[in-house]
Amino acid sequence: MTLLKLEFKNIFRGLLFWMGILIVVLVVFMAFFPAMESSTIQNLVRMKQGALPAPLLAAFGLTEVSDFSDIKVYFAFIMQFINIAIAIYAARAGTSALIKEETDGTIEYLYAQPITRSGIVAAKMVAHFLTYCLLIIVLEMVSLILVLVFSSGKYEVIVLLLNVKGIYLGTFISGFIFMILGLWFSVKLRSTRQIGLTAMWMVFGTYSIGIFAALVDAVGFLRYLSPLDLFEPNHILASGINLKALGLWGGVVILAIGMTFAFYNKKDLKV
Amino acid sequence: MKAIETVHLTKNYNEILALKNVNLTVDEGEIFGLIGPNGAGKSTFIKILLNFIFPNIGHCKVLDLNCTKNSAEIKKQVGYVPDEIRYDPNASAEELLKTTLAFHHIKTEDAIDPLCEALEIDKSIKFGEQSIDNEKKIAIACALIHEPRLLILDEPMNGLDPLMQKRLFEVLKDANEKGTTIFLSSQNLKEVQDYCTRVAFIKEGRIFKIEDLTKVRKKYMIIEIKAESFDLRDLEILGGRMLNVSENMVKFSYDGDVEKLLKTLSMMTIKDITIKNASLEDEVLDYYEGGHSDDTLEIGI
Repeated sequence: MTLLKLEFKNIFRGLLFWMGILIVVLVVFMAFFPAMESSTIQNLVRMKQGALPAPLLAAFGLTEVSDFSDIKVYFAFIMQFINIAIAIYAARAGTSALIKEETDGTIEYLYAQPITRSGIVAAKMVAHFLTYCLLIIVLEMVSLILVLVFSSGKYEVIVLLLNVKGIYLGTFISGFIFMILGLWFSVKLRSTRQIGLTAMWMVFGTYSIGIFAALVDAVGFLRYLSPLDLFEPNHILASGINLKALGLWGGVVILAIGMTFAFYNKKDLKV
Repeated sequence: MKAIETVHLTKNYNEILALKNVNLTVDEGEIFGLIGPNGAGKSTFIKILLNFIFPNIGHCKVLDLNCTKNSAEIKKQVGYVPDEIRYDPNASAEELLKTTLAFHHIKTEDAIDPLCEALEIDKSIKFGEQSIDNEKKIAIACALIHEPRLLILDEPMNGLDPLMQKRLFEVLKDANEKGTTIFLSSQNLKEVQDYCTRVAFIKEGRIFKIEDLTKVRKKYMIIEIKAESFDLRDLEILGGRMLNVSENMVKFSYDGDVEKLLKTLSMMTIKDITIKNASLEDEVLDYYEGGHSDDTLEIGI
């Protein structure tokens, strides 16, 4: 419990920073929605989208020419970018969880206390998980308020609520996957200098694979390597959570957690 | 009970041998010093005891508990002061001490003020704003606050002025008198020899000598002669142990009859001579500088 409190204290400032930035981005994106309702902009968007081939649209989660005057569609579209940002936050959080203390040298104090290595991993994992949950909950609430404000009463509240909730469930799942993969990498990294690059590779590497899989039918199965694509907002709006993907990545997450504990327990700490 | 017991402890970092076959026992109640130069293996030894790293071969026990399997249990009874202290720079000394107590599930915070007073710590200043002296004092306070049975200090004298070194040893002596076993490492025997009951000397990962400082040591001399020429055989017959020989200079140790020595020396054409009683420090320095081979190791374990 002592370590959990310490961890919260250490990561809370970073959480507030990300939360602030993402709220601003959400507000700015949503502020464009009224303009999307005008016929001029609608025509322009339709014309631009119509010029793009279907596979390319699919790669960006647009299965058909999207109606951005529908706030559900518009919100799902902007959430693609928010999802990427949240995935980067989660990947960074997981990747830094164990290596940061080693690079900073503070692990020497921590590990001189009566706590097991498994206890350290568990406390850090729980602290990052809970702060991640807090981030998602706050962003979801802010999103709901923004959607309700900008929808101007055109939709039933319950419909908007379910849409936002569904989209954020996908956001939560993809981010959580990156956090756990990051945690596994955190055992293996040599220094905090590798955190940013590792997180970026994880997120944009898998995202690129997802785009590639959407563009080339023959390698469509590779989509399963891309959490951002599998739990993409438009897919969730269209057909809900992909349970097959959820099961597959659930297995990967369990394996990664198990390996993180196993390797950290056998690791020579760099102090 | 043994405070520390290691058996055939060996550690490699890739190709580099950090510890080789270290067998060492420290009894409860001792103030034990591990002496050696930089890179001798002192910190590696301590880090294995605390399970920061794992040995390649051998095993060790602290307070009769296996270092690898019972590490958390061991740390309930052990305080540790690292060589380079890197605690949370934003935490004050008081916060660090309170956190340490919380880790040990000790609810009363009565020990904080007396310990801060004894070590002259300003508990309100953030750790990152403290001087090296004060950082060390805070680390020592954190290591002592839960009244450990064993206190492990890695080069505690580094960066401390002589006055503070003396103050620190008073605190350590005090803890020792209350029953805490002290295990410390140092590069300099002189710093610790007045306080330690026993010392072990380590070089290139091997412990080559253990000395009981509570016993009177056999005295011997270190003699350095500069001469036009000399016959080494005369000195060897006399019982001298050559430490350093060059064309016009010889340095040897001698623990025999002084009269015989003077007679032998009087037959040489000496330009300059230095005779001094050897300390344990000299003996160890001779070893460090001498590049002795493995078969000359005087294993005191």
